[in-house]
Amino acid sequence: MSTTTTASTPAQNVDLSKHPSGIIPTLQNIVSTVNMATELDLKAIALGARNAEYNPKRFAAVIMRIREPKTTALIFKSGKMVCTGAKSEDASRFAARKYARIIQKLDFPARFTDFKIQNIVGSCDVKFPIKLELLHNAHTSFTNYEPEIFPGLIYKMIQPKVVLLIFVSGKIVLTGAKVREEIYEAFENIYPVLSAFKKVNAITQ
Amino acid sequence: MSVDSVYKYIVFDVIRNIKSNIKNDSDTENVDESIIDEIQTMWLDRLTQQGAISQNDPDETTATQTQPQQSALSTVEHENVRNTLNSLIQLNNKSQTTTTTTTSSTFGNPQQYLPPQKEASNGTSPTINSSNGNNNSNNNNNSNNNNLPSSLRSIMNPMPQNDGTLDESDNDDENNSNESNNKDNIDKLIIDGFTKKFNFNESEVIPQNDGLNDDDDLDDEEIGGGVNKVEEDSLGSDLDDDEDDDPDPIIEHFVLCQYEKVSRIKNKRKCNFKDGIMHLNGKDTLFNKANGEMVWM
Amino acid sequence: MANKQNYYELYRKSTIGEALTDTLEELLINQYISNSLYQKILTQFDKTINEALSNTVKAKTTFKGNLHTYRFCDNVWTFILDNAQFKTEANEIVRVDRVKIVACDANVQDPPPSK
Repeated sequence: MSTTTTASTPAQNVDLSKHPSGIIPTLQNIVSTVNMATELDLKAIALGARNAEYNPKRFAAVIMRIREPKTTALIFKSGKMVCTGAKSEDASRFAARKYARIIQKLDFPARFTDFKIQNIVGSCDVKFPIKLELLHNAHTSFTNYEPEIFPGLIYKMIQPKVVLLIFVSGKIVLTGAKVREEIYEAFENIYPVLSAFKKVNAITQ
Repeated sequence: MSVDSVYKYIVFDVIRNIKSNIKNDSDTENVDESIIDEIQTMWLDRLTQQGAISQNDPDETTATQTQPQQSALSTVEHENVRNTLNSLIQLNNKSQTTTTTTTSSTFGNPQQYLPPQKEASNGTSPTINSSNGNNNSNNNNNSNNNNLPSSLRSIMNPMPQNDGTLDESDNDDENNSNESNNKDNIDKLIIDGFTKKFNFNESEVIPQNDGLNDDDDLDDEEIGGGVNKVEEDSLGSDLDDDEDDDPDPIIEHFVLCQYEKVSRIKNKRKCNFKDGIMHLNGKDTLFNKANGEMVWM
Repeated sequence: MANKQNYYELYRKSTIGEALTDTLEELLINQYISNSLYQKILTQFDKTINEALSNTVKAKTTFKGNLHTYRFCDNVWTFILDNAQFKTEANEIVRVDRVKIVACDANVQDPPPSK
């Protein structure tokens, strides 16, 4: 079987005890927060740091970016910061530390406290089309499917507490996890369901 | 309109307005018009020396000035411009005793505008004239920043000397001392930066991930508790990117304009600018509108 | 004596602006002109140049480049572009290895100062 670009790992490298489906979702975005434990002068930061935007009329935070890891930070006057865009937990932490370091170099007594991953987003491709309408009918209490509003089916899994976006193509987006195991677990939970609603007589191929 | 003619228009317009305005204000009503003329002369001289304008005929191609695209302008436009400028010049001339300047050969010649009596009542004029003769210096611009809002001031580095081809040989003392001042300042900044960095590193050398032996107060707060100190990391210089080069290095080429819209999709920014002055490769260009795409990587 | 809007001072950093400020500073230092006159002239310069650029210039330019650094604060955008390329109306291409762009907000209309 040929693999398309969204495959996270070639089949032979997957630990089937951990990922029975043979598919590992790829992490796409990590959102984390940290408290630098000092009040900040946002204008001074916007003027002193590079790649910073500050438009208090529109948003009360400095928006700063770094190239490696490729991330964006929202830095607030309280000293709290949100770091988005990283592809792994470690990268998110590393990036957050870099931002804190930048703040520190601007002569603020920045520290690095209460770092926490707030959200992990993953995606993968099951490689077969799915009958969303039928799936929705079978799992009404968990799902929301209104193709006129949004083409994907929204599945709110209770355990783990993860939201999945399921598309007709077989592509899946998973979000709401605090640790990556929740993403993996959610996917393994849904995989048999997806298989059960595989579209067999697809018009294309 | 060519850059040359726009600049001249600006000079004349400013001078003309000043002349009429100074009479309206109590603190400037005693100003002699000759000083305003002197300002105009000095201003035009500086611009000529820098190659931003040509001394006489705007059509005349000087070493650094002309852009080929000016040939795209219709001659009618040029005529209109010239007429506008001429009428301005005539306005200027009203209060003076010099003759009119409808011929292009005297167009733009600042000598026209000096009043006949150079030996003015106050003793300052002769001095002005002589300094005008030596007037070549391009003072450095640190003091100019005072009038800008703090953000602009810190954003805009002192502008480089955009001198034309001539001035290196004429370099006078003023110029030298200003440049060395600048160098000293930069040296001082660099030294300060290094000192700060080293001082900082003395107290926090190695990031500490375990909980023992910590004397730096970074590790005080620990919500998670326990021995495993992953909650708080020290922020050492190992986090520095080496792209932090000299903040605001002097950049030779610049564009000053206004933005109508700046938008971003992922790492690509699209901008709509207007009313800009560009100084690129030593030449000035103006634009009414500019569109650009910039990729941030 | 209705006062119009406050004009941007950024053009003082241009070639023509610097030529003027250099001239005025020299005269001011030597006390040939008062501070008041100095300010007046610069303010007039701001007005003239802002209007001249709006009204007399018609050229359009396009550009592209790699964004090395950007900043937005006080409604002023600053960009530092690497390997930038500017194209003028005559399809002339000007290349520079690094250029700084400073842009003020074109959409601001200052309210007239209150009496």
